[in-house]
Amino acid sequence: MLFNSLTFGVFFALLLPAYFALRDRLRAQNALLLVASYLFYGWWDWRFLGLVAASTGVDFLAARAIADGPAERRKAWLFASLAMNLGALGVFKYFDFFSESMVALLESIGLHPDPVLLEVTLPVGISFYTFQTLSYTIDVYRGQAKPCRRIDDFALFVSFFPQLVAGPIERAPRLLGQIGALRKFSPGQVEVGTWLIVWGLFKKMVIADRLAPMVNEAFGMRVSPGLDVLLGALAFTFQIYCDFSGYTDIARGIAKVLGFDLSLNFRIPYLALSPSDFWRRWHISLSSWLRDYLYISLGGNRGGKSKMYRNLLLTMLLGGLWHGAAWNFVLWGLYHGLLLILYRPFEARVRQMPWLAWPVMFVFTVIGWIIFRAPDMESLTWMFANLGVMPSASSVRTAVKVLGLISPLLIAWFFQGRSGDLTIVHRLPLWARILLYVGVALLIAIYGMRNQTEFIYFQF
Amino acid sequence: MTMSELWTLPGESIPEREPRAVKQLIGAFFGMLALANVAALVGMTLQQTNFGYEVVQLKFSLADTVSEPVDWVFIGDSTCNQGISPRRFEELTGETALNLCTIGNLTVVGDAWVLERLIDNVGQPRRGVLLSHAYDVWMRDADGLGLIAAETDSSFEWRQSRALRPATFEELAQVAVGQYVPLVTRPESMHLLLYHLIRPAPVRHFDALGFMDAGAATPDRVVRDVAGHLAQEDDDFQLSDINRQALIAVDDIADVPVFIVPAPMAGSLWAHDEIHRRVSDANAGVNEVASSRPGMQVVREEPWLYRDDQMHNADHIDGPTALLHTDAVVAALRGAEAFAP
Repeated sequence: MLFNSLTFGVFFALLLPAYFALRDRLRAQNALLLVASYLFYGWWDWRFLGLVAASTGVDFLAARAIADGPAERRKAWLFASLAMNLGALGVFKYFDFFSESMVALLESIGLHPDPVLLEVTLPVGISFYTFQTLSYTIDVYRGQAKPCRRIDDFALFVSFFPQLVAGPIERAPRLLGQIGALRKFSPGQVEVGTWLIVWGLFKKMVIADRLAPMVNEAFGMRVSPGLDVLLGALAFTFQIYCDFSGYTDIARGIAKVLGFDLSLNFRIPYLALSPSDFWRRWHISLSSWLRDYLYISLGGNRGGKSKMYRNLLLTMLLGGLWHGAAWNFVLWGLYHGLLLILYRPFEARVRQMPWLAWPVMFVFTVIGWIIFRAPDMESLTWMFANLGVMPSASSVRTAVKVLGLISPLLIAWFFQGRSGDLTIVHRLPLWARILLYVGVALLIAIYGMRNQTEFIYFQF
Repeated sequence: MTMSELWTLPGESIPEREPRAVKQLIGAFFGMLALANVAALVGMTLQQTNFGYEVVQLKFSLADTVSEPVDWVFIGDSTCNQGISPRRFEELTGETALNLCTIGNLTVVGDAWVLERLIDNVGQPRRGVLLSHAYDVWMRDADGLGLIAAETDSSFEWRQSRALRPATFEELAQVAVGQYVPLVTRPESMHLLLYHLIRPAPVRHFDALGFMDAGAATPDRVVRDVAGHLAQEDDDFQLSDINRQALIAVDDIADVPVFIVPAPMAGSLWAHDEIHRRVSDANAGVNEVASSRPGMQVVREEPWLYRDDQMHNADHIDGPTALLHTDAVVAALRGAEAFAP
């Protein structure tokens, strides 16, 4: 079920009154949310509900055993949880990739083995919910979280539908705490939630989906060399942001309307001054997960510069691989790892000259997105070889289209950035807010794409 | 406040609100959207903004009101609506014809339905049925909204009567919402409604036999449309289940032979190997059905090719070329011995 589909509209319209009718009855509300979450996920493919349920069961038991069981078995239970979650990821997401890569490697030295491929469908959102449940057992193991005592609460923590398939990746203390407590409905939160849903749909359906054809043209190598290639890369830079942050906005908006507060996942990432600043602003729930559970586990900043750089590279490389089983994601992760290392000595200085640091970092970000989006090596080399500023007959038209589509975003960023408040729109008087809400909704009605394209991050 | 603050990490704040203020905001938001929806409904009643629906309504009405039986009936999509002229056909063959081709989104389901409506009105065609579709129509699923353009309530019933795939939940929801909430389902119409406030809608020229004269060519559009075809992300161009079922329904409905021909195509589109693959994928299923039905024959598989300056877009030809295309179709039918000796 996609947030931008009619089916979801009907689903949410039916859920909401039932949910509010159960106000002050926490258990019943949670049970309703759990059923709704399983329905939401099962709508896509009910067979994979078993995987969600298995992940829930294993991690629930593992965390209880880690907390309550004998000390010498704690590690074994942690490994059981890691094996379950990483095993599922390995089978469904990475097995064929590594198998094919191994075959290619062996063929390059003259051997010709038969490839072993599973060719299974990748369950939507598997990378998100496995990371979420993994963080739970690791937190319990580290003593940073208490084990959940109720299987129904924990099942809702794993499957909570607004963030199940594309995050934000929540930590147990934050989300489980909210699941176990009576909902607090603040009118301001409902207002912000409604705005996030409208704004998220606008970013997805109007900006991202209308930029998509231009991006496909460029990365399909069907545009003239020069400026058109650059515009294609820029279009993807904004497409992926609007697609992913649009999803997150809708997810957080829905959660807020339901009385939950999910983590912020984006803080205007394209205003970043350096790579580390970028990762404080882009997919924050993943970057903080990688920092807390991978980088720190590898040793973090301890053990001298060379070890720190190694840890950074490894973390970013695996972070890249998290996005998909393909070499371009590995390369993208490696690229960001190198950027982090190269920028390290200048971190303090970039803040002193933002007008210089910002465009430089933006260019680096766009380069990264070219690596990320290129469907194969041919497209990747073609994009870099043909990047330029030489216009073609259609460049002006494309440039106007891209600029026209992203201009509402640039205006929003300007005001959000200056005020430091992502919800600055709520400082407007009531009449202006009504006009803004209605205006954005009408723009979605007239210009929003209706072919219900999947959110890009579903595949990760 | 300085500009350098632009780069500080922003946060989120939840405003303090009285419940009444939020109720006012959300109430006004949905109220104004409801008003906009009513305005759009009224606007669309006053002015037909969806050209496709206009074609569908016109052809179904023609099938219901024509007074004489004909020798030939053309059914298919918009490439045929503006591509095969019954008048020219009659000049060449001496046999009468009617063009009931509608739009691709109606798929073969629409073809079968409009054919049955004609037969209910004036009886079977005397010589044959000519069915023509662009390659990328064969793989489509039926469009519930397109079908309700023809007749609001009975399209799903009709499908059921012909044992075609029953309507899915999504289709039913689309049709229910589509009729009354254009704000959700009809963005193009909304767009055109606003556009036609500034520029009047173009006048379409249909003759009494259902053929639409498309006027002059637009080669610039052909170039863009060729790129659009190539950028299409669908990988599966094989005959869809509902089209397979509907093809059989067409053959069941018609007591006369059914001849299948491809749509015209810009040579610049056919120049791409990918298009050959798609056409071949689509034809495989169509051939399979036709070979199992004695009354059905595929007359030609490869599309007829035209220059960009003879076309409106990648598979729709201009008015003058429609006459040439009709000549080519008639020649192919002669080759298939479709006419009486």
